[in-house]
Amino acid sequence: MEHAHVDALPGQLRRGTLEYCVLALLRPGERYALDLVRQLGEIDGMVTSEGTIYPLLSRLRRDGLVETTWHESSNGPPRRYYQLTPSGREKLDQFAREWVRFRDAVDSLIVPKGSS
Amino acid sequence: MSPTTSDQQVKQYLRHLRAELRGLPRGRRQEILAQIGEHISACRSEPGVEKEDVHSLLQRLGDPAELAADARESFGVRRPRPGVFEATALLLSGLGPLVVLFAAIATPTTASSWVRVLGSVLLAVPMSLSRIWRVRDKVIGTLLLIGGSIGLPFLMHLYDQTSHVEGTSAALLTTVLVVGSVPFLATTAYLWFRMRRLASHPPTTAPA
Repeated sequence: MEHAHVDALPGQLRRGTLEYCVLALLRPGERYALDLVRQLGEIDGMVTSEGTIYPLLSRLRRDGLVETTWHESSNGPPRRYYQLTPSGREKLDQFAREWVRFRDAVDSLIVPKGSS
Repeated sequence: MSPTTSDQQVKQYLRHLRAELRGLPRGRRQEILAQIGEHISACRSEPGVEKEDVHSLLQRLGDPAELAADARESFGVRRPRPGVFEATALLLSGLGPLVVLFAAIATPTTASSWVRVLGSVLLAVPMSLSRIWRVRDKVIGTLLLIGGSIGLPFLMHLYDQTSHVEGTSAALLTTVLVVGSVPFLATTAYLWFRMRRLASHPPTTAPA
């Protein structure tokens, strides 16, 4: 059922906004990759599968918007953490401003008039 | 069930993923494989994870084909599909013997063999433009075509010389033509086989 939900949105729209959702989750500070992926996976309609977030993270790192660091773990192998770079933070802030304007514009056309 | 079943599931998943990611540049492919590998081992090392959970863990990660399609789109890489270059290359290498024979008849006998080598390089042009075949495939294909373009006229020349001495034999001529065509047919078969491997989906069942 969840998948039908996700498929109703054009792939490009979802993909285009997903990267900013990832950046936004990193705004408070660095995150363990697995936690990040799980949180995104739990939000209804955000991703089709957990795995698809990794190529995205990889691209964000290559674009210089996030960076990875390794932390020792008490149990198991070292863990990969992601955090925003200054340019990632800047891009997120820009998007957040534009997004509100864009969302309101789309709402004004799409949401039926008179519905509260 | 053997105790390594979930290990095998993970191995098989990663093998499929590696095959599906083939179109991506090496560095990106490695990075994605490393991330997914870490994800799986991190999830499995958590306390309270049973063996049966591996199946649902892999399911949440998603179908390797879907994941790879997403990765290609994310990096702006298209999965190559056989097109006009591949069709032309296969046709030319398959019809190579006819082309070479026609060229040998049409050009004066004084034409030196480097003209023939040049001709065979021209035969290899569509193949070299293809985005499906790897460099190794193109080198093998070009060498085979050069070999055929030199070998076939050479065999015909030998036949000419012997036929003056011993009289014409249709069986000998057929043998010469068949043997001379082998490099071209080998090129066609090899390129066809490689194209099917590189452009189509890898088998979903793991080889034993």
